[in-house]
Amino acid sequence: MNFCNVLGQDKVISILQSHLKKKRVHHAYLFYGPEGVGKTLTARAFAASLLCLEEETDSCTHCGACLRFAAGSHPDYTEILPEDGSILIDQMREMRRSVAYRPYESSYRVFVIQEAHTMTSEAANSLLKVLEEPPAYVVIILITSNQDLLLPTIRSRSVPIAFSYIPDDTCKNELRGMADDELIEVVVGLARGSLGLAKSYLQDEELLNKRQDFLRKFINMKKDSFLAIYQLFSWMEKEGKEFFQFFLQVLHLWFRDLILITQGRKEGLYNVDFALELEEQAQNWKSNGLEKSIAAVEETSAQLRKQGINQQLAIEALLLKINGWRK
Amino acid sequence: MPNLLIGGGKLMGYMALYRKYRPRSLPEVVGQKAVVRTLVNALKGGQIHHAYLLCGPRGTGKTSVARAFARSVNCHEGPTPEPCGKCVSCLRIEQGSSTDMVEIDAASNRGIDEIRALKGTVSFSPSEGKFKIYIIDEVHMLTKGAFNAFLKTLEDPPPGVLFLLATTEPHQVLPTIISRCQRFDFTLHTQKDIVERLSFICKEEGIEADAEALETIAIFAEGGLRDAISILDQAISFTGGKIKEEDVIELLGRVDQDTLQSMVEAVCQSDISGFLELIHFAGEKGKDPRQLADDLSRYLRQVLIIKECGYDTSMVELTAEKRKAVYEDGKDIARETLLKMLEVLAELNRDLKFSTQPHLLLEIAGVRLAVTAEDNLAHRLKTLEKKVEQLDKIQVQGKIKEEMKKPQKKKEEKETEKIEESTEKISELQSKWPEFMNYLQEKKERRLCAFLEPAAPLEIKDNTIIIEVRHSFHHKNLEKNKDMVQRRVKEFFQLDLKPVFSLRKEEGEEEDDNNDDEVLQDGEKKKEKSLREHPVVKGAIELLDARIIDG
Repeated sequence: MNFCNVLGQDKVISILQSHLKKKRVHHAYLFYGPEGVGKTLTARAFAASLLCLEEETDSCTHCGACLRFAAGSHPDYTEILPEDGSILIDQMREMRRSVAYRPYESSYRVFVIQEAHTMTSEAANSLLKVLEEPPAYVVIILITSNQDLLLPTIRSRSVPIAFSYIPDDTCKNELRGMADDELIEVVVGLARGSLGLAKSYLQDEELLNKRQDFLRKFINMKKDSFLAIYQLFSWMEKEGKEFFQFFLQVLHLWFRDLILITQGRKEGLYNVDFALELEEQAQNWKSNGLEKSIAAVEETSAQLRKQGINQQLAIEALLLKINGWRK
Repeated sequence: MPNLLIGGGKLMGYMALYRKYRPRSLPEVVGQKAVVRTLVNALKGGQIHHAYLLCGPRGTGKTSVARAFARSVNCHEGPTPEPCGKCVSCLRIEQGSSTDMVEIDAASNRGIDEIRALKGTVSFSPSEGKFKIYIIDEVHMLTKGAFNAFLKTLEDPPPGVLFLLATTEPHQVLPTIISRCQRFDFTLHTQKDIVERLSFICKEEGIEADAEALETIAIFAEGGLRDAISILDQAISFTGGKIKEEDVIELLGRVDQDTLQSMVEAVCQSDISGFLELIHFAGEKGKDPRQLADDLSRYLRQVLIIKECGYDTSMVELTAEKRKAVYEDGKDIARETLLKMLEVLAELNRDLKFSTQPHLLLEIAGVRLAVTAEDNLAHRLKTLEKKVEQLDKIQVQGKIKEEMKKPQKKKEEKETEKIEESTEKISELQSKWPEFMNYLQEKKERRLCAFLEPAAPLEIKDNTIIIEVRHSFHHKNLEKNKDMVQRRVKEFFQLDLKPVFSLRKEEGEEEDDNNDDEVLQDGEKKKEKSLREHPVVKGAIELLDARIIDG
């Protein structure tokens, strides 16, 4: 586990290595950026280089500490994950207690808090004091894909490190050979600069088939027919409720492509394999219909994330609305 | 204070600059003049209250002031604003081993039990200093029970006890707690204060930095000194040598002015694909969509302010060169367009907060921005074209049948003018329609408003205004209140127009309307027909091969 494993984040790595080299390692970092671009991987590599006993600016991957780290059993490394969707105050209290122990074999103790934006308000507040003035051997790395949801007091205490989308070409190069080229195009487009997502899409062929089926059904859906909406929903339900968000995302991308096409732009489309259908569909919308549809999709996807919502009603209402905006 | 001398192989204990340069005494505190002055005078006069509440945004010095005050109060030469730093009390506090100063993190010790434990220790008198000091940080996180359990102690502590409560969110603190404390409100630091402090730190650390770089840091720190010093700290590691402005922008993942400028340019020229490419490029360089949106609105604000308040306005802090560029940029953009663009961006900023796909939202907003700019351009172009066309007509006509057509020409001209006038009027009406709704709300015309809101003005013809209405129900009610509508339109638009309501026909809704209207007259047949035509019923009939049975 070293920095070579991280792809396309050269700028971030050079910043972190400069900290290591100049011995200006801060006690709190905030890694933020879109999902699947390598934040966790970078955090682990950074932790490994801090804990490594041999090398200074990277992990040597062969000393005792690095081996233990790779095996996931390094005592000076702790990763905190959300439990049931959020990080709770008890987890923070536990961490505060464990912060007090000196490092076991390295000169640092590294704490990585995944999905830091899921911290409850109590948890976040109870982190503040530790985050500001931990013991000298502690390095805390917060990872988030939505830094706006963090308390300003948390952000102000940590060094922000911005992660960017991985350029499409880097993604393609990395994925080359895993599947045929056209599929890679589609997947890279769908994953939009996120190597992690692209890989998971590629591994899950069924998911890609689902996307195609869904899009076909959506395109062929009759206007003015409640029955068609009901049928589409029943199909979605049959595929499984856990895919609702995925389908919404596919819809989101679909409308985004349509908007681009109506604006006369043919490059940078995500749904490369549906180019013909896109062209056809682009004419079928009332003015502003596409934008309204995107907003509606966003809204529904937010609603579905809440609890106690009737998913069937939400999705059917969405499809109904979208149908209304068709010509 | 943390102990720095631990650890093995690597050199340990790099301390973040914001911790290293925490003020040790009150006069060292940056900004917060009112707070510091009051506290210094209290120390000089020996009038030390038993409870203080320090509140204000992040990074403004609450905890630092609390610690400095604790030191001052307990110094053996004190109470003095400038603690000696040599006596037992000062040294112990410095090392973090003082028994007289207790710092409590209220966010993790927030329950009633912790407060009970605290109450238990309050009665012990101080050991080496004069006061027993409790600094309770993040006090807003105490539970309600804990707050209430704390009230009596806070009001009447034993002599020699001092509470310093610090919080970023005073509104979450019980009013009964606030009323028992002397409250101090910390304000965000001014840009000037931050720059001064940063250059002081640079000097102490022996680091060179451009004045502009420090200013940029101060801008993005948004008033928090800790944020500013943090950024400086990072910039030092990032650059190695002298800190330049580009480094700071690069480091923060912000977008530089040139890019912003070309973005605005692309938008104004409706060059959508150019704009999208700029976004994509920025994304590949590691710019966060949220920050980009933020930067873009910041830039447009500058453009707007310089456009409105003149080149030399002090409301925008920019160097002369950049100011000029911003000024040049704003010259050709209409005020309305700028406002609309800012509106789009404000909406975007709000949506981005909760979106899982910020990049997509940004792209779409880009398209929308370009469309707003285009709308404006198109509008201007159209009116221009019309005028040119008219001119041509007049000229041609003038040449061919100058004399004979004279009266007719005038008439024609008048007519086109009229049409143009009315289209202008109607577009004004349409754009002001939402404002009109607000006006109606103000006038307590809720009913009218409800009926008119989904309606839209269609055209103006010979002193009548044709308003398109969606439902027959609305239509009926509006017909009844015709005079009222006329009056309100006259009041608001200063146009004396007679309203005529036309019902908009829409598929699907038509049938509903009919139901509403005519059920009573020839109900049954129509109802059945509409039932048969209803898509669900139709589908069911198809699916089940069924027929409708009466009754």
